[in-house]
This record gives sequence, C-alpha cells and structure tokens, in this order.
Amino acid sequence: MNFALNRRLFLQASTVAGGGFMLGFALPGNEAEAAAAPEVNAWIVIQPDDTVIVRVAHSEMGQGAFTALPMMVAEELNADWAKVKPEFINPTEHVQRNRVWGGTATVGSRAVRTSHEYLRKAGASAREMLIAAAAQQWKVPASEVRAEKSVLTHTPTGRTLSYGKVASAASRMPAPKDVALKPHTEWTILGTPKSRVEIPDKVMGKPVFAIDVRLPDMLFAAIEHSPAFGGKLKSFDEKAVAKMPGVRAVVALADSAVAVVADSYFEASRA
Amino acid sequence: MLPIEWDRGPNGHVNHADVLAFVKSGLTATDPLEGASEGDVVAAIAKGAKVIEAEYHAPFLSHAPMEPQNATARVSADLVEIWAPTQNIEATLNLAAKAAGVDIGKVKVHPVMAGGGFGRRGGQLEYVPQAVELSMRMGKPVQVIWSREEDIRHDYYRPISSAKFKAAFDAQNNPIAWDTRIAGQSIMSTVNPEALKKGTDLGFLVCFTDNPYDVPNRRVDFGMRNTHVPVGYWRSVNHSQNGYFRECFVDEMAEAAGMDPYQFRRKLLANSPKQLACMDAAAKAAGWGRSLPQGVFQGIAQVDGYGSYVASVVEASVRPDGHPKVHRVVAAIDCGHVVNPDTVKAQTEGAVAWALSAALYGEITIKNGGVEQGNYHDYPMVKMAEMPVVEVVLVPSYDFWGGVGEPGAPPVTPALLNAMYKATGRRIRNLPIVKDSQPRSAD
Amino acid sequence: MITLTINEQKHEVEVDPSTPLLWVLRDKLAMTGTKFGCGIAQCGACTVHINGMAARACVTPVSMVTDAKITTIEGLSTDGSHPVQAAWVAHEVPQCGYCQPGMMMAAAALLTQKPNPTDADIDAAITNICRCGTYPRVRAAIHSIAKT
Repeated sequence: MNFALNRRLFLQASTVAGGGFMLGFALPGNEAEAAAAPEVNAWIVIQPDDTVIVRVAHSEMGQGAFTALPMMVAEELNADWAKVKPEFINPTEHVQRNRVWGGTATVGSRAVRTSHEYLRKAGASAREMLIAAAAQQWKVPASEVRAEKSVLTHTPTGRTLSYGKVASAASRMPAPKDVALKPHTEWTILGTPKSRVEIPDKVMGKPVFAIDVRLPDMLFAAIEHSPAFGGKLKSFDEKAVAKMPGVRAVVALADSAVAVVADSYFEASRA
Repeated sequence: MLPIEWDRGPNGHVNHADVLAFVKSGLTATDPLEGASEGDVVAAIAKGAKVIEAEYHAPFLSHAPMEPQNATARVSADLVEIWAPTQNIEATLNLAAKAAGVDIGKVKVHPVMAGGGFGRRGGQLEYVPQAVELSMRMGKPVQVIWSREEDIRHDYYRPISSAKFKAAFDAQNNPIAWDTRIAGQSIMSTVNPEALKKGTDLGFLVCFTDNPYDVPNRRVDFGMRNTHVPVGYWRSVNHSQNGYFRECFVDEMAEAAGMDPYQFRRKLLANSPKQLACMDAAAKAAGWGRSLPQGVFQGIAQVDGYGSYVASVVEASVRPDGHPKVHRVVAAIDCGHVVNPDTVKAQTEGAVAWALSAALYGEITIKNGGVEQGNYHDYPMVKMAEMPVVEVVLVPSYDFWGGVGEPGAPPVTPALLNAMYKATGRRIRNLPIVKDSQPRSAD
Repeated sequence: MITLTINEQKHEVEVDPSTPLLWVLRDKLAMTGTKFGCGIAQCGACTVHINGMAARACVTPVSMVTDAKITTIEGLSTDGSHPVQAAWVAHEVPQCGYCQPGMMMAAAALLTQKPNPTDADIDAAITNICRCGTYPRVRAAIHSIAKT
C-alpha cells in the first residue's frame, strides 16, 4: 500500500492549489493558508500550535453542522474544544480521494445521523495514534499514556506532551483496526452546549455568503426564465437595452432563459 | 425592459383549477398504487357501527430562502472557480465541470455558507452552470443573481397533495378500520424519473406506511398524479403534508370516539413507547387541559420523522375574521442522542416559524402554465408579530441518533388546526388557513 | 458624481441617481453586509440606518440620501462590540444569518428610539423576514439589551 505516500503527495499538490479552507471564510483576499501539518487521518490535522483542524463535509446553512460534526470528532479525540477549528472539505479532493469524507449532501436532517459513527471513529482512531506516538517517544507502553484535553500524559511519571508536538509522528502510526466508542455517559463535549462557531462572523456582516463575493472586473447577470414551465425562448430584442448604462451583453441560456450582463446587478436587473 | 417573446410550451394553457382537478382525481382513482395494508379494511368498514370520512388538501409551496439563488464563476484557461450556495458540494462541482467542459480536477469549489436552503439547493443548481457559461462568454468573472421573482417562479416546489380518509368504529367507539388514499405529485417525477419506473414512490406515504396508531385494519394507497410543475424536497416535505392530514384526522377520530384527543392518542399509541413518551412530555410541559384565558384553546399532534420524535401542543385563539393568533407552542423532541442542545432547540424553534408561514399563508398557484406568486408580498411569511412563544423540551432516550432540522415542523400545523377547531367548531381541511378560514358568527 | 457619508466616511460614486442605495453599497462600494432579499421593501434584509432611522436600502434612491448620515452593519461597530451584536452572540440568534444584518440594524434603531421596548414595540418595529425562524431569539436578545 502506498496510500500514505500518495496522500502526502496529494497534500503537497493541494497545498499549492489552496487545498483546504479554514472557517473565517475563503472569499478572495482572506483565504487562510492550507494546513501545512500532515493529516493524522483524513478528518484531522493537528498543527504544531495544537490547533485541531476538523474537516467538515456537510454544508452550513444555520443548522449547526460546522459545530456539531467537529464536536463528534473532538469528543473521541479527547481534544480541547477551544482549540478545534472546522474546515470545509475541498470537493474536488473529496472525489479524487475516493470520497474519503463520506456523504456530502446536506438534506433530510441527515448530517449527524448518517455520519456519527465514522466521525467518532475517526476521532478515536486519531487519539490512539497520538497515544502510540507519545509512547514511542517516551519508550513506554501505550497503556501508560492517557489523552485528555489535547494533552498526552505518561501516567506513572506525569510527563506531558501536547497533541501538536506528536501529531506529525502520529500521522505515521498505523491506524488501529478497531476502536471502541465512549458510552454517552462519559461524554464531556457531546451533549453539552457549544456556541456555534460561525456566529461571530455572521453578526459582523462578514462576507460568508456566495452572493458577497467580489472579484476584480466582475460583471453581474440578471436572469429571466420562461414564465411557463416547459416554455421556450422565441426571440428577444437586444437593441432595446444594448445602450442602457452598464449593459455589456444579452445572452440566451439554452432555450429557456435570457441573461443580461452588466457592470452592476442593478443595471442588469432593470434592463 | 428587455422585450422577450416566449413560446409558453405544451402546458402554457394550464391553470390552477386544472391542476387541482387532476390531482384530486387521484383520490377516486380505481387503480391506485399500493402502499401498505393490514387486515381487511373494506370488510371492517362495512361492519362499522359508525363511519367518518374527511378530505384534506395541501398546496404547492416554494422555499424562498433569504439568500436568493446565485453563483459566481471565474473561468480561466486552467481553472474554473465557483462560489454558490449549495446543500450539495459534489453537485456544484459536477455541474461546474460539465458546464465548462473540463475535468473536475480543474474545478475549485470555494467554500461558502448558504443563506438558507431548506431543500431548494440539494441538486437543482441551475445557477451554477449559468454563471460558468456567462463567465466563459464574457471572459471575466460573472455573478449571476436570480431576483426573488425568478426564485419563487422557478423553484422545485413542495408537491401538491390531497388525502381522503375513512375510519370505522365499533359499537363501543373503538376504531376498527382506517382507510387512507393519498393523491399528489411524486417528487421522483422531477428529481429521479427513472426511479418511478420501478413502481410507486413510497416516500410519498410516510406517516401512513409507518403509522404508529394501533387500529386493527388499515390501508394506505396512492393515486399518483404528476403535474407539469417541477417538485422537490422542502424542509419536512412529505411529513409536513401527511403529518397534517393524519394528525387532523386523528382528532376527528377522537371526537367520533367521544374522547379527549390527547387521551385518544395515548390509547392508540400504547405500543409505541417513544411517541408516547414524547407526547406525554409535551402535554405535561404545556399543561394539557389547564385553564386558559378566554378564547384560547389547545391542540395537540405528534409526528415522528427524520429519525426523531416530536410532539407539539399549540395554544391559539381565533379572531372574529377567522384568522388565528398563535400564543404558545410547546414542542417535545426525542432525537436520541443530543449533540448540541442549543442547536436542537434553535432548530425546533425555527421549524415552528417554518410550519406557521406555510400553514397560514403558503400557497403557490398556477396560471397559464407558470407560477402566479413572485415575492414576499404575495407569498408572505410569518414575521415577529405573529411568532408565538416557543418552548422546546428535550427528552432524549439515548439509544439512537435522530435528525433535528426538519422533525420540529410537521406537528405544528395539525396542532394549530386542532386548537382552532376547538375555538370555532369548524374544521379547516384546506391550506393555507387564510384561504379556508371564515369569519366567525358573533360569539 | 454623488457623495455619500457612510459609517462616518465620505464616498464618491459615479452612479445613476435613481440607483437604490443597496446596489451602491454592494456593487460599487463592495460593502456586502447589507443584503438583497426581495428588492421591494418586504423582507428587511437590506435595512440600514439613515440619520439613525431604520430604512430599506433596496427602495431608497441614492439621490435621496446624499445629505444623510448612513450607517450599515459594517459601521455598527468595528469589533462586534455593539450591544446588539453582543446580545446576538450571547443568544445564538443567527441561524443561516443572511437576514441578520438587517434584523440587527432594525433592532439597533428601535433600541435607540425606545431603550426599553415592549413586546408590542418589538412587533411593530421588527418587520423583517427570517426564514430560519429566529424570531424568539431576536425578541429575547432585544429584551436582554433593554435590561442592561
């Protein structure tokens, strides 16, 4: 298996292309740097400063996926929730990596109920890999190492290492074949109220939506579709609007819609 | 304004009365598609000491998320970049690649949040290829924005549907048979016509194929009537229709049996512990049967769906003009494990507003083959002044993982209609309420 | 050339005087916090302050506000410290969040005029549409500010 090698090559390639995106939102000009640290597994990247990046494969539209899904990973990872940052997956990478992040369609109230098992297992598996890496570094049995709140502790001696210090070594550890998941009575993150991570940006009116994208030389288009379902475009009189301020073009889209392209949406929509 | 001439196409003459007549013909069709059946419903009804019947209807509905449909594309020689609200990033990716005629390796879907979705942006993302095509044509980045009118007139609507019920009781008022016919437009007719070739669309019969109420002889079947109007998923889609039909008719059954609607449900849910516990929690938190201000009445309903259980008690009064005022909604939800409790509460609160907008005002009608409504003035929403107090009670049973985005909505409408019935003595069986309510005679 | 005073800064824009303020903000000045929802003053997503009063930018011709003091969500505070923003975070008001800039601007204007609004005041002043249904939290957040 050379998956690990391929994965690293891929990450290098996707880092160049701007592979991953942090919350804070990736409109042009404020793209966060793609994570430089290696993946512990596909869901988790732990940076040297202990930031735990958790990949999110479902859309955020106010239903809380960006918080709830990382909570499930962080619970089993025994991560310090304050250091967890969600990051939206790159769908191109998702397809190229054989849909490594599972289902992405955010429909049918399904984000949590279809992914809870593999997300929690990803967290538990990474936790075991972190423990194994710390045990190797200390040359002690893994059973003497515990993981709590993003810190690994060698129980007999009290020595500690933060997750960020061993994440790179952990990424080279074999993933455990099977991991046990905690019973709900042992949860410390799941089931507790966590503030939704994107709310501070939203109350500032930050450009987190597609409609807020502004690019150099960008034009705007207004669309009119056939007023009846199944209707077809017969003709339009481009000359009637061609001289209106800001109007750049009138374009037929297939045979059922017309677009007016202009310098601003107002100029496109009134033409 | 750009002068455009349209050929309105083969359905350009279709009006709403035509659509309604076609859909309702499914209620009497003699060759319905099979749903589910237990016992012998026909024989049991024939033996009934008392038989009641009722017909209900639910309209087409639009999603109208606050962020209109839009997409921005920047197409260069070696990269197609796209920004668009979506509930399905793979669909965005594939549509952009196809429109540009490139491999997905040359497409970059930028992550953005969606200003609402509610099922509209699950896969029918025409605005994505539109932006790509226009960016290629113009050689510059292009942002496509659909006006609100284009959004409401070119949606994938919650299907139109109707229900016809018959229930029979024995001489001791025990229900012995329950027959249900659903008529309406299968979502598969739009989103996956291939799937329909295999037969029926059982998703259209939820709440009946999994009906938890114990009645010995039951049947549900489907008079499928697919119109030319595109339909799709919509927050709590089929549960919002069938939950309303079922829970209103259960109230009618309770009345026929001479029982309190809560106690009647308790009796028929004796073997459905999760539904029962959830409903008991809602009834307890609301104070079912408590003394209320004059003119205020309670209604109850419970619907499970999306892997979770929700029961709601609505307290409402009815103004002289027939319009309801909803004072309070108490919702109990069992979603199994609770991940983020405040999110469960927020989603359940939001589902109340979603359901009330639809129940009070929501209706898309057809004229000359297209949609008549176009913006929030003729497709109105509940606003602050009409929003009730909402109390959400979490009753997790910790042995499953349920959804929370949608299940809060379905019980709201029937609980409201059941409360309104207590206030007026008149059943509303057509939505929206503004169309079917009547001024009250002087009290 | 039209001169506008937005968030205490002067901006000069070359636009048709009939252009609604919304599109000047969004398309000419790239101030995208103010949202487009309906274009006909129904939804309130475009709510800004004009001389301290809540106004719907989608139907306000820019020529009408050349002498006015305009405040947008970007000007409510630079760091999220405005009491409305703080209360919105504390009550976890936003869901999708698209309507919330307008909702917050309407709430901020109300609280300026009526520091202790009643439920009826809130009902009358907050006529914005939220499809996610955040109304109970909007109400609670406004009341929490009034109490402080």
